[in-house]
Amino acid sequence: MHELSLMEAVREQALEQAQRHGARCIEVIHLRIGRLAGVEPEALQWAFALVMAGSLAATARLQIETVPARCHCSVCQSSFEAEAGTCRCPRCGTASNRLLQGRELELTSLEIH
Amino acid sequence: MPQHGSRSAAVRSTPPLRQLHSLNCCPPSVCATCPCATDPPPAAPAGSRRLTLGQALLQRNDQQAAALRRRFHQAGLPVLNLLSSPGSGKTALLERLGAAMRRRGLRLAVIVGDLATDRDARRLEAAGVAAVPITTGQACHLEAAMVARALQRLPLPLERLDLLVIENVGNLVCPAAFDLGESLRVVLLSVCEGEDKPLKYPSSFHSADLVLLGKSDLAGVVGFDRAQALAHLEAVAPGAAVREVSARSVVGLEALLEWLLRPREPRGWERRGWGVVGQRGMAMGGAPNDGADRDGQARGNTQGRGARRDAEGMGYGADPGAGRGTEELGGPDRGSVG
Repeated sequence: MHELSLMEAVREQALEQAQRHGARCIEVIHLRIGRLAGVEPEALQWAFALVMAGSLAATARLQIETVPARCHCSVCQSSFEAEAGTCRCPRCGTASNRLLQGRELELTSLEIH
Repeated sequence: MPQHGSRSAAVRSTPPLRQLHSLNCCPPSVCATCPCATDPPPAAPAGSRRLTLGQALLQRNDQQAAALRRRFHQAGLPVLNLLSSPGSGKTALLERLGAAMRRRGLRLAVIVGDLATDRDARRLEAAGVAAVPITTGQACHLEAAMVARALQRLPLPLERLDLLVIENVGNLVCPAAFDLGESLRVVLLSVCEGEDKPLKYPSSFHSADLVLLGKSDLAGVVGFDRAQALAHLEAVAPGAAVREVSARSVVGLEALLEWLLRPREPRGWERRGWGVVGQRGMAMGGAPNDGADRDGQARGNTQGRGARRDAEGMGYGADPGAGRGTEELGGPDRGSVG
């Protein structure tokens, strides 16, 4: 399961930043996960407990912001939510080539103490 | 053991979109209609500090993939990342592709990923294709670092190859997220797998530059609805070219080879027909590149590496406008090139 290796990357990056800023512990880890990133937030929660045990983030809370997929329609000149990854504009039916958001895999911020 | 009580309230906290404005979530031209609000995030409790990072989780893989991409570009070598379900026919296709390339005096090498065994690599070697296995153990996908290590075991330097294919682990879920430095991402869907497969795996199909409908010789037997498949691909992967192939009956392979070996602009992860959005992190401003790519004509040079070096833009970029609608190639190598 690659949610585990992703969470290891979170751990590595979070611990590096926390140490750099002299933190005693990490209280909250904020992630942004796009719906088209191919990652399941619930599996990330599961992996979180496993991976953070014994570290500065052992008692941290994981906060995941799920980013919906949004596309830009060049005909309507506005954006729409791409449900289940389908990129067809609900207003005019044009297939959109332009994904605005939805593939994020981001360590957004940390709350440290 | 970590405390779970305090975490339960935060499980899958997903504040409404309007509270979660990211400055880079939309290009300026659509910001006026974007439902994102500009409320700042709640303040951290006293004694705590918030560090705003905005770091891609896969930044290490992305950096390694970028280094690979530069290296491939310097060597003038087109590289494919081939994704599919297990059993779709990746290895069989590559055996035939290797044979087709050999007939033209061209060299194919393959890096093959599998959880266990090197059977696919040995099959390819037996078919005369240079193949390096990556046995991942439990990893369900390939990552750039694995590919970098495998390159050291190729029997030829990159400059002496005409095409490198990375045959990913048979999996339509996990490989999608990992850039391997490829020029083109290819998703193989066999006609036996169902027309609605693209809808079930939007992340992988969405990331494709080229979708191959494989085992096309079986389409009639399994009642494959080509029109439905194309409609679903249009919905989920409107930027992808689509071609039909059959390894067994050797249909479509020569035309596929022509298409693959056309010179294209260097492909960046961000430029893969989707224009403005980086694969990781925040959207980037600027005009989409799809217009330019769609208008790009095939410079029609399939004579091998020397000739490709002379063409400008030695790498391979997305060709999002090409081949919309399946290239149906009836009979061996008689179809037209899309």
